[in-house]
Amino acid sequence: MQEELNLVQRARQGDQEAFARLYETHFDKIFRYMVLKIRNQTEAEDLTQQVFVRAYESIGSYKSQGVPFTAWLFRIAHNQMVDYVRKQSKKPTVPLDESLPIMDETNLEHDVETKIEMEKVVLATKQLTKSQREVISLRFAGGLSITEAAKTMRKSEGAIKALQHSAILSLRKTLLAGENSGNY
Amino acid sequence: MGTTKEFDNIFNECMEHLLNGQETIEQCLQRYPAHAKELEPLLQTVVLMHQVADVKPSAEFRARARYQMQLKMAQTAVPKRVARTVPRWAIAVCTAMFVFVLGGSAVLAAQNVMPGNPLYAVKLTTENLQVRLAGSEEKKTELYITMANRRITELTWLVNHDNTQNLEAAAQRLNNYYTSIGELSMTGSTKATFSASVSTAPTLPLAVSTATVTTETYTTIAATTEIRPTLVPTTIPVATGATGNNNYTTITTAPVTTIVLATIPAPGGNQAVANSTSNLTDILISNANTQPGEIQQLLNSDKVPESVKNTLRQALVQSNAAYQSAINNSNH
Repeated sequence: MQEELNLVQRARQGDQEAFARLYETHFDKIFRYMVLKIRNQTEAEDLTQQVFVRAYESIGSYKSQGVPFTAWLFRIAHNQMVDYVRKQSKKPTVPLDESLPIMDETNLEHDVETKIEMEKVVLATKQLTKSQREVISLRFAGGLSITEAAKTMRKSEGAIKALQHSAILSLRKTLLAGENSGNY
Repeated sequence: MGTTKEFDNIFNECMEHLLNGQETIEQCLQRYPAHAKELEPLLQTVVLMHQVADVKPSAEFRARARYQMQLKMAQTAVPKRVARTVPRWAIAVCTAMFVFVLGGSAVLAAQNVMPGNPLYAVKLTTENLQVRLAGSEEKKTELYITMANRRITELTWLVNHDNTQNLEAAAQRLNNYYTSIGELSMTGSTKATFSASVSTAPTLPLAVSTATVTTETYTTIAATTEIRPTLVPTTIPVATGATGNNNYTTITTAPVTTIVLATIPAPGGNQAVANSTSNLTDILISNANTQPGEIQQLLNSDKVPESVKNTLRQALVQSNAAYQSAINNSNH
């Protein structure tokens, strides 16, 4: 934690090596968050890059007062995603089959199963509320702690725990209902 | 069952332990038998959700994104305040004191040690000091190339001696040197030239099968009689564009130049080249010819763990990008 604070401080002063290390630390998390949120690998790649460009441009004005760097970065990611969704809402929707991540060809059988599972879960997440979906994305894809998720969403830790519980419960019910009805 | 808040805390604790690999579902249920019936299906869903969310960016995208980030940073480079606050003479004095305190013989002895040796830290520290003391960006680039050669030699040595413990760190360092070489080629006096070439470069649509792109491929060295590098268009994407269909992604690229190299490494190997008085371009060409092949050999080894191979794949892509950029700029 202290190391990250030092890196952020150095990055704010224009130290590119420090920013590069922050980039390497958070790159996968932001990408996973984007994939889970928008379910389109190519768009998720573009948005991930945009998040870090935005972060690089804004790091000089970042002030840690109560908001960890991770939470600040995920707020940028959230805003980028919201902008993207707003623009996409004016366009025809992308079929789900085309939007899921491209899998590794070397393990095709496993990946096909994973993709099917992913489709089920992704469909189930559509039943969640916005806040529940955000908590799930931050916790599972972003790997954020309860504290970091709370700072990102400007909610209390208790509220995040409650949302997390209700989201998983809702996912479970939706997945079970889908299995019973043969929809999946 | 207790209050909802209490259950939220218990569920969160079990979830954290599960995701961190500290506990299995069964172990958690044993700790909270009163909540077991309610917890079990939730924790099973947590495991499923964790698997679904475990998506990794492709090595190709990772390398492309890193390269573009480096471009962005190079275009808006801000001088490091830290560097300005440490005068060169102070570093020289510190180096002298370091050598004096440690003993010159220890520093010399450290030059040939391998990772895992107690003196290895001295070797790395000495290398870092050399970079800090380098008078020019060209000298720094030379040093990074030399250090990259050393790390490749060490990686090969570690693999041959079945010592996988220090492989990841050595591979990561190798990766960092290529990043530094790429950064150096895009900063300082060469920055304006590079930026101009990027901004004025025409774009062309290029269909790249994202399913078939692998990072093991690297610039093929053509057997020509030219000594100077020939620059030809390549398919390394530098900017993403509109999405294509399920199998293909349409990528809009600037026609990045790649290197068709023909020089023969000087007798004595890469190290001899790096230490010679040859100009920087020759050093770059020579090592751009040899280093990717050596990294590929490591990638072909069954002894190298997959996690290290991922880092080496990045190094391979990074080395191509870094050498292309550096050679391009050294010719301006």
